[in-house]
Amino acid sequence: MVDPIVEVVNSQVGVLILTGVMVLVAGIVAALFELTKPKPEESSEGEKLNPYLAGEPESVVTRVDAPIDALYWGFAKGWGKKLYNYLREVMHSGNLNDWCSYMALWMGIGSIIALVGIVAYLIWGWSAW
Amino acid sequence: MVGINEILLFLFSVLVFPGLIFVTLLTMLSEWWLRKITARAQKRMGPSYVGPFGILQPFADFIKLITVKEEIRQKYSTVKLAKVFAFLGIGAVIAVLLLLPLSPLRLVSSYDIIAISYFCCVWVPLAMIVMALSLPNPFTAGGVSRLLSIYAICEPAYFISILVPIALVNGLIGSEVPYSVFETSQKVWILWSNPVTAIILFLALVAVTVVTQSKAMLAPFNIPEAEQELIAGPMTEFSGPLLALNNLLHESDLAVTLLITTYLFLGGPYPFPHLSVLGALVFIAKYIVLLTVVAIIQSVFGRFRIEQALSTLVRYSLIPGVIALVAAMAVSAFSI
Repeated sequence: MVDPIVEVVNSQVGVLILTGVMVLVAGIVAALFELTKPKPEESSEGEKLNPYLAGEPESVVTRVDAPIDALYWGFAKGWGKKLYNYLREVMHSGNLNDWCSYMALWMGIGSIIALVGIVAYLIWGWSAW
Repeated sequence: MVGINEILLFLFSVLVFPGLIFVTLLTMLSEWWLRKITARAQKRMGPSYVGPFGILQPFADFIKLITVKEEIRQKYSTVKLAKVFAFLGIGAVIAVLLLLPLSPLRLVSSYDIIAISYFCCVWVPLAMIVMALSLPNPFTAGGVSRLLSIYAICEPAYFISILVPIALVNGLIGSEVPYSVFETSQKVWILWSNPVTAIILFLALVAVTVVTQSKAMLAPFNIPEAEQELIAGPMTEFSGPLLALNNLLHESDLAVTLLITTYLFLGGPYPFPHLSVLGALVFIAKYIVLLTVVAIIQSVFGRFRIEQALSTLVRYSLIPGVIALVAAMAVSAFSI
């Protein structure tokens, strides 16, 4: 019986080896797939050429695929709009005090972060980082 | 100098065990178990005809799709691109197995947890998404958009969750190679005997179970393929051999994710060695328990709407994962 081999390698070398394994396995699966295929590939004909649209003709859709900018608009109209509306409600309530407290809150958080940074720098210096 | 024994062991590990052949068998048997348990929970028989208790049904389905069924190629499709990414996805799933103690040839490197995340959270989703988009269809686009929304939460949650046992082992027990999957798998079982670390591990295990459910698009996270709205979502245009490849990639991703969880959270066969009866039984029992939990969750939940799915993922995977990681770091820092 062959004993297991434990190879301790550098992290980058490890990822390179695993990437090589990934490509090797992909190649072998592709070769097996081609070998076991019973008949040569044929192009589809007739109705099969159309995308499946639950029985509707292709004219019912503007396009069959999703445009690239849909990702941006999906975010902008979904999450982005929600965030914008929330911020607008908080900042633009018509009451100047609301706006002042909102700005003071963020300034306060910024000040605390800066203070913690300064204290940490004074205690440990840059070398600790 | 690399000898012939090393080369043979490498080829054996990649192609036979725990590589291609083992993963294919494990995938088919896991699929059978999942289908059987789900069916029994719903008072159905499940696979029954091919082989004893229908155990060979997934093999029959796979062979039928490859050899008999027609691969429909609509006019906008790029089937070859889809196949290339299916092969790469299957390759990525198998490559990570070399990092586990299951493999006769074990690769160990510091921070190789990042390699697991790279192959499981980047290559596999990328392969699935490129495969789907290679056959354009409005239903596919809708399904992929939902899938991307789920990945945006479940992949960071997965990385955070699997970091927990590694951080605990590294901080409390110590390891020669820091943050390595191999050493964590060997030592994590010790942490279950400490009530503090057991609670942290359990929290991360809950998070990773929810993530597994969503990564595999199983109920209640199967909204990307909601048939009433999207026919089959990302898989609408798949047929014949391409559908077989997609199923193999999908199911092998689930099987390997469960194997990683079995090792990183439950310690695989340890404290018993792999090549012992007790070790093998303990390992198989842990894997089957995890798979059964996944099947039971799938059986008892209905499908969530996309916003319900996302908020559930945040509540039950991302937040517990973050809490567990912070607690693991704190416990490691103070060495309770």
